[in-house]
Amino acid sequence: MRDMTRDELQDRLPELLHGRLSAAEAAELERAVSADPELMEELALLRSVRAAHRHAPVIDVSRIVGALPAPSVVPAVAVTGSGPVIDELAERRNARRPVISRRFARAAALLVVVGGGTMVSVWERSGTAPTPVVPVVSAAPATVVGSTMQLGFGTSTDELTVEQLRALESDIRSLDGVPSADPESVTDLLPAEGA
Amino acid sequence: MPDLITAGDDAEMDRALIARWNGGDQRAATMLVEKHAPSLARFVGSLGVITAPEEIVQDTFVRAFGSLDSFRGESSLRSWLFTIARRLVLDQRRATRHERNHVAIEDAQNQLVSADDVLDGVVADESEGRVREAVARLSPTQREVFTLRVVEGLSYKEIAVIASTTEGAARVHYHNAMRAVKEFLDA
Repeated sequence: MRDMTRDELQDRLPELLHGRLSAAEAAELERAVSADPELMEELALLRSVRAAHRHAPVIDVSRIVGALPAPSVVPAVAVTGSGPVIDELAERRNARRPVISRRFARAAALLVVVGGGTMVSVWERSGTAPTPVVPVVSAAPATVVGSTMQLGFGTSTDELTVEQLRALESDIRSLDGVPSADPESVTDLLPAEGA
Repeated sequence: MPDLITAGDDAEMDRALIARWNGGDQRAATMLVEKHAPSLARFVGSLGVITAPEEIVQDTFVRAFGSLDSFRGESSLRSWLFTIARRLVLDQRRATRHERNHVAIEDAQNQLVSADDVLDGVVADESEGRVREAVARLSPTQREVFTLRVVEGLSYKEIAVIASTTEGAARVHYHNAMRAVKEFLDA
């Protein structure tokens, strides 16, 4: 064991006081203390501090024990003869699974309903698809067909015929139940026929 | 007697008692409370709690036993109990801030002595009174660290966990407290 510095010796005096050192460490520290009046004085001071604080308020142990919660007794694994081993904890865990699954299913369904409803509501209020969905088009049909603007969920305007686009425009206009705060923002998807 | 028990033995004994309690042995709970209640009460007192420290001690055990099955033994049961007690004291202080439920540093010594006199019927002699006064005059943090280190014999590591600080800071607080106590006693 390496020699401890004086600071280390001083730092370990409380451990010596409480008997928390190994026999070798305690012997080394006691030797050092006996040769150093300052360490001796400090150890004496620590003893007096400990002694002065040895009295604790009287505690009613039975009252505390009476207030404690009952232990959650871990059931022993039941082994009866050559019969099956019954793990009560595992049974309890398995019994809880359907409840957990039902709860999860309910939460997922609620999420779908609320999320879907919110999307539809937003769509209806704006009278258009979400921002990237409604293209602002003033070019010729060929330009529209060639654009890469998305209708949402990965559908491209490239995949729609002119008739389908007209039908979509008509559908969007019919959804406009709430007056638009900015009527000027409504832009034709396609140029007027014959233009 | 406690001097002969190493920290490892102590923790091992606690683990065995916890296992017995988890197995339904109520006597193990009594033994654990008997073992740790006095030091908890002293610690709570060192934090300046004068009014009903036994309530804090009881609440500490109730909370600890309520979650003993989750106690992993990574820290000692004792330092875990001290941590819970400290949080309860802080909560109580926040709740009763206006009632001045804890004492000012300059008043601590007299109240600590008188509280112990009432509770224990022990009359501190003059030298013990001086030592207690020296400790009572420390700052709350110094007093907490110093008491845990000297009176309860905890390591800096354990103190750091309990007091939500670092080992290095705990060491500094201890040495500053030691210097202050010496200066007071030498004056």
